[in-house]
Amino acid sequence: MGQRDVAGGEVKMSEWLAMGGHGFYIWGSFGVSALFMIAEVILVMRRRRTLIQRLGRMIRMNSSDNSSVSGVSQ
Amino acid sequence: MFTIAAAILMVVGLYMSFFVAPTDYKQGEGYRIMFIHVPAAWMSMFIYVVMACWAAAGMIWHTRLSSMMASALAPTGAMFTFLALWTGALWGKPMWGAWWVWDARLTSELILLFLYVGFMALESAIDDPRRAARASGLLALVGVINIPIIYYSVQWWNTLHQGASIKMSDTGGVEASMSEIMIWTLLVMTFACWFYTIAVALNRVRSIILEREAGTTWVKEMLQGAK
Repeated sequence: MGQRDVAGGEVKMSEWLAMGGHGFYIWGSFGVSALFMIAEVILVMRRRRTLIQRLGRMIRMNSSDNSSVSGVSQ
Repeated sequence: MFTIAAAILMVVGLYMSFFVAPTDYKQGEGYRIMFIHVPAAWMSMFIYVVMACWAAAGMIWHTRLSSMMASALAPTGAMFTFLALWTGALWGKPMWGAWWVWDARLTSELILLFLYVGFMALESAIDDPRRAARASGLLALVGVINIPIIYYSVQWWNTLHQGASIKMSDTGGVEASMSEIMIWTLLVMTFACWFYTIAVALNRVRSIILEREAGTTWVKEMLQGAK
């Protein structure tokens, strides 16, 4: 992978990553942003999955001992 | 569907950010932080306004779903606010020589982060969902005053922060302080964040509805049907 420079030559990968000396700041920005957004998606999906599992368990419990429906407290 | 749109736009936006958009004549490569910083900052303000509207609707008409939408948006808004501050710090260091300055734009954005955190904390501190929605909704509404302060802070006060990236000119057209390709890149990234927010907030609100409605017949039927 590499980017063509103005003259048409291949720019080296490491050079591209260095971003003209601003690499740390640029990758720090985009990296942390990506990390947060991916983490949020995982958390949201996991919350839904565990919630459905928990509610499913409660419904099974309630139907087996034939008791009245109870609310879920969080 | 929103998830797919967000993912595609994000890939295109990132490609444009790094391979299509040219090097800035003044800031070199460092300006590329803009392509994540500006969308994050826009989203942080926009989500807050939408959240406050939902909270207001919930308070006026007592519609429970409105308050649930408000609380589903808050964490994503807080995340974008944090990212705007974080990427701002990483942009400020090479350009201004400082991670942080107590200037109007930065300080008001920090207050926005506190507003989001306060909203979430207040809501989770009150057990009764209706009272929680009313209290946090009031906080959200009062906090709206901060949004124009953030937006106009670069005009009202002397600040290190550069002026608006894109603004309406007096003649009614759109005035931008950058080249066309940079604007397009910025717009693609912003739409990516938009669709991302919609996808995440809708998913989160579905969980909130399930939590609140647990014990009702329709939830039971839905879960039994899903097995």
